[in-house]
Amino acid sequence: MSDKVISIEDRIPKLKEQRKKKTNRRLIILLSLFFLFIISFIYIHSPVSRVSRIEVKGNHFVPDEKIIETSGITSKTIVLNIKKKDVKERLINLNGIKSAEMHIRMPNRVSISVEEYEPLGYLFENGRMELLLENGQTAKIENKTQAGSIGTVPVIKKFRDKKMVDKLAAELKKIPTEIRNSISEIIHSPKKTDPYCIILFMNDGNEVHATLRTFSDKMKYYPEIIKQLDSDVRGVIDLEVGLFFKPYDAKEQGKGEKKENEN
Amino acid sequence: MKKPSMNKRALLLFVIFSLLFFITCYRFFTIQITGEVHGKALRAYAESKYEKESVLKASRGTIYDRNGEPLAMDTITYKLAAVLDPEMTPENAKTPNHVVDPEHTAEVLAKYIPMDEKEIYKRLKKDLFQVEFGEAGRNLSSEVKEKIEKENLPGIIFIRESKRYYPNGEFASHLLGFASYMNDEKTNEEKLVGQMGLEKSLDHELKGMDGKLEYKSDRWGYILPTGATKIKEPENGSDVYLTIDKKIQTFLEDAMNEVDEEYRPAKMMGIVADAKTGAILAMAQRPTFNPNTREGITDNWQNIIVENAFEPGSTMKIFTLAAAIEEGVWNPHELFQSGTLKVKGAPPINDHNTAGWGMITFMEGIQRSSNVAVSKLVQKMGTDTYRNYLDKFKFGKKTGIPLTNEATGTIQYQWERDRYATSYGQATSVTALQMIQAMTAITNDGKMMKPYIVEKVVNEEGKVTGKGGPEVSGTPISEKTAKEVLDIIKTTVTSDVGTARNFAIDGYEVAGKTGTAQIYEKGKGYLTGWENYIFSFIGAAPADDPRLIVYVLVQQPDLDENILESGSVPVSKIFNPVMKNSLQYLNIKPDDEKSRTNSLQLPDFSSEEVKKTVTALKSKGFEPIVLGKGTKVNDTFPAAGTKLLHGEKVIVVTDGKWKIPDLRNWSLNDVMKLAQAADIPFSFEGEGFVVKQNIKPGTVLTKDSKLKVKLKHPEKRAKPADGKDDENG
Repeated sequence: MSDKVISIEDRIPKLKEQRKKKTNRRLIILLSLFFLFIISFIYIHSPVSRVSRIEVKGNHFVPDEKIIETSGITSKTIVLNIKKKDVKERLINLNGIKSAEMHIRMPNRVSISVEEYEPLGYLFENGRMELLLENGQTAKIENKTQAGSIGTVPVIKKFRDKKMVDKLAAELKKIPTEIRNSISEIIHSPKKTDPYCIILFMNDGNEVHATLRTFSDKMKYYPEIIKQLDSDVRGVIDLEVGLFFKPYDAKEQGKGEKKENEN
Repeated sequence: MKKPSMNKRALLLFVIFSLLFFITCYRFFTIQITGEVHGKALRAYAESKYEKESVLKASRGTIYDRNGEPLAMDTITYKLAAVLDPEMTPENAKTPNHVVDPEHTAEVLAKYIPMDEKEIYKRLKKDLFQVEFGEAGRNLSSEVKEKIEKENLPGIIFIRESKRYYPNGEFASHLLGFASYMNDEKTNEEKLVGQMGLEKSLDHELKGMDGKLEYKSDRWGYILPTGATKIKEPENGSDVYLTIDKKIQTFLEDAMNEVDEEYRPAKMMGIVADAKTGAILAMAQRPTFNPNTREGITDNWQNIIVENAFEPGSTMKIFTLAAAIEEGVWNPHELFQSGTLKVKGAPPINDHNTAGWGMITFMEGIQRSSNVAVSKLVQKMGTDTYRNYLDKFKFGKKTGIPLTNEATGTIQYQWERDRYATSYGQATSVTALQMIQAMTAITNDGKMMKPYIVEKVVNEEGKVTGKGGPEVSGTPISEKTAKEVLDIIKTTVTSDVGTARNFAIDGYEVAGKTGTAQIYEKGKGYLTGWENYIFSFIGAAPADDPRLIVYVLVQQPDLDENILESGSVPVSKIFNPVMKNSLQYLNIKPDDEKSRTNSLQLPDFSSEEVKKTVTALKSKGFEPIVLGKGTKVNDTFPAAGTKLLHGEKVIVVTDGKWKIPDLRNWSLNDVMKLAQAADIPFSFEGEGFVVKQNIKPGTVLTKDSKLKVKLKHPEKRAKPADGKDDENG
């Protein structure tokens, strides 16, 4: 008996202590919840939670404003509410954007970096210029100041058929940039025998006749072809069938050929 | 009492016998208890009498190249022996176990081994248990062995031996080294031990552990059926895979053999390394030896690529140049007086052409390999700063390649003149491997890679127990600097004044630097004479994104002085084929003709001087069109970084009034560039090339200017009549 009495007496202070601990813990939890609530309330209602600045990088012809607009992020957007995936998806659907990446720099700066489809040429129609992109789509030239960074892509004329444009885009994409940059104009000039015929004017003053069927394969060798030629003589380089060169002065030889081109 | 003496005698006998008895007992018990006689353990002796132990030889690991081609391997050969002791034939045996007919045996054996019949006979008549036949009876192939066995010669036995075999002969000999039989003191067994090269330094991995077979036998050595056998399996050595590529090594060996024959140089070294990882793909030197026969090895034990430090000569200028660019003291257009540079209290620094080339740019200085140019660069950055870069490039330190006796080289930096001399590769000595390591910093975007030779070590079970691999050993320079260095040193190959023109390779652009180092001989000082130099070249290709580094050194070749044959000729005869074949073998596409000669990326000229920009553009084959009269370039069209073909127009925009040029014969694209550059709206009509412009050439452009051009197809234009061009003027 005496044993038990002692043991109960023994236990009482311990129980007390335990109860104390429990209430303490509860208080701490409640308090921290309360403060957390207060802090989040303050955060949400302060300007810190809103996007303060949006940076756009990597765009050449799609204007910043358009990208920001498409992203759906405004100065009222709460940073924590931004869903990267949604923003990316929206941006990729924007004409001319190949891929997009978004980063939030805490507390409230957003940077968007995009990769555009490479412009392959200026599509010229009815006095208006549009950019022809590597995926065959076209994009408006909205930002004039950035035009310089588009590079020196050729002007594409008389391509009225969308299929032809796609074919041209696919072919242009295959030739090296430096060769693309050396083309001044690409003019669609279909023949009865071959609807794919094109005429090119080069920056160096030469003219190239080719067909879209073999254009990229043969155009790759343009620099080598030019190297073989006398640098003072300008003329027509015919890549349609085989490869031959006719200087402009050689009128006698060229006449028959000329007519054919006028078809 | 009568016979007291008899009693005495009996006592004596008793004592003697009991003593003898005692001794016998003592002996018996001591042997029984200690088991030793004359300090020998009896049990062991008994066992050794009937128990035989034979060693199960562990085979030595194979050394493979990176594609799994064996470079050093064990092969089985046989050693011929003849048992002469008639005791070896048990009485009732059907066939004798010893040589019965020495005459016949000698006659037959003489057919198969390179030894005289008489000599064989003499050996067979010796009063010995067993005889061998020296080198003549060794290294017999299994074919020869089988043929001799068919002759049914009693007493002729074959002892299996493994031999280290190097299937390629003279092939990376100093790198692989060789292994030969040595007597192991502990077991009294002959064992293959690596004597030099990787065979020596990786001996521990390669050698493995011999096993044992224990069994009981009768006096003729036959295993007793009742006796238990104990087997301890041998642990075979691990296989080592190197970074060496057999093909590339063969290219190097072949090229070196040819040059060796033609020019008989005192020494040659050649290394091929992966420019991105530091992996050594090939390594060879001359004179060399054949590791199978060890012919030519006499006083030629050193792997000079690793163990020899030398003054590298002008190849060192690459790293001085890199340091100068990194420090921002490099200005390629700045002029300096070439020829000589005075140094306080020491003889002046001279260019190899002491007269110099007058005032030249630093760019030309590098192309002409001017010592004065690089000394001046060191002067500009300060010798202490330069010393830091030598440390950063890890000169004066071992690279840590697993080869014995690696040299460190010495950076001579005590005297002012030595510091300058170091910048062009004199005074300070380096190893060829250090040069390769430093070069990787240039070819790997500033990240220096530690050279390595062992790809992996694989043990018997196929587990990889050791692995080598690319390891960055420092970042002495930035990526930008590395690229710039490559761009500059490739002009030593392409420039008309460049010293490395011999090293141009068809299809690939090479960036590199030649070196001509003087040879210092004790007592004589620096040697003089047409050919008493170490001629070298370190080069990387393809220059815009190097994949391989090849470093070749040729010491004192026999040059044809009559035609003033340059020392770089024998070097190029190694470098060029090795580089070209290796790149082709690695399927690295040749630089397209166009990109090599016709295409260029437009550099950034913004805020450069207009004059310089114009000359730079012209020298690259572009046609600069300057808008405005300012001195500094604001912008160019197309923008910096655009890839262009040669001959393209580049619009350079500066401050001041922009006057419109004569646009006749311009292409539409070029006109657009101009309109973009001038930021004016423009329109066009027609196609082809410009025949008319609405603003007269020379008119100052204003904000309100609108450019309009008329284009015409050149053929159509020429069609109506001649001389129509006047119309357009």
